[in-house]
Amino acid sequence: MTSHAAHLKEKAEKASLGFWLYLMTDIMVFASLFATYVILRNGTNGGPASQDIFNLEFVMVETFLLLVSSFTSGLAYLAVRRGLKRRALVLLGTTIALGIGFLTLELYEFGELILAGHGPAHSAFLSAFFTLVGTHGLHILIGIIWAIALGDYISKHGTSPDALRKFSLFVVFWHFLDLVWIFIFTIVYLLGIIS
Amino acid sequence: MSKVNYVHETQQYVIGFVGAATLTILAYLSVKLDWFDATTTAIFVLVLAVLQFSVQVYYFLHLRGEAKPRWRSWTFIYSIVMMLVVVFGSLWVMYNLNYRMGMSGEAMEEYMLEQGKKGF
Repeated sequence: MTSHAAHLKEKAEKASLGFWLYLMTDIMVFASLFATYVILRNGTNGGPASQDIFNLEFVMVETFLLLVSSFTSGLAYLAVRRGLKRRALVLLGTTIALGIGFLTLELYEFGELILAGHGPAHSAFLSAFFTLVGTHGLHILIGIIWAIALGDYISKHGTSPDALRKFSLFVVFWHFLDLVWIFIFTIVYLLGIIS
Repeated sequence: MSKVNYVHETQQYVIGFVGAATLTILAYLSVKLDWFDATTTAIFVLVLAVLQFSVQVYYFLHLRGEAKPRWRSWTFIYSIVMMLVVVFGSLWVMYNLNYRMGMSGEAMEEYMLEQGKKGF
């Protein structure tokens, strides 16, 4: 290995570990929001409870949009590694489109609730719900912007080692967001409908 | 790297995706079709969530075969432990608080006297 290649590898390794540590702190952010939500979920203040406002089919569509996008982002990463620029861009584009679809549905859900007078100010339950799900949505928005910037970078510079390093961070971030969504789907929506 | 390697990696992603999708659909059906009573369903979907979390971590995040000293794996395990402490610790404290605050004045006085007799 040339010293240049060794340098690049070390740089990638450091960036990847640093980004991973950021994600670990993000786990704590979501942990406290989940704890808050579970504690406040019965504080409905005479307003709607979780089973009154959640639509399971709607949430299933959201869940699958995000799961498929997590899958395509992983395939896009493999394509970048193989140096298949075109395939990587198509898969990344799919990931972005699915992410935008997810975010649109989430904003639609929020909009419906707010228009029906069930905004975050209505009850402790709704405050906790909007904060938890909204924080996740904000991460998704950042991920989408990041993915668009990455697509732009790859279309200009191709599948260089730098592109691969940047992409590997994004793909971990995107998988992480789907991991958080598993628990939002289960704890907020599924358990919300059961109780 | 050989081409076989990529075929294998793609397979890993497909397995992860199919596994996660199956677990999601199972969770959905168990709630939609009322397979069990409420408590059992709650436990069932939580178990499915933990399973799906494991499937996605194993097949999507590339933690397998991390070279020593395995910083990612250890920080991940540590964060999950801390997450459980935060979540279950908060729940424990808040339910306890709710229980004590939810009593009527008389019940509370009786309860406090009883606790007082026990000493600390």
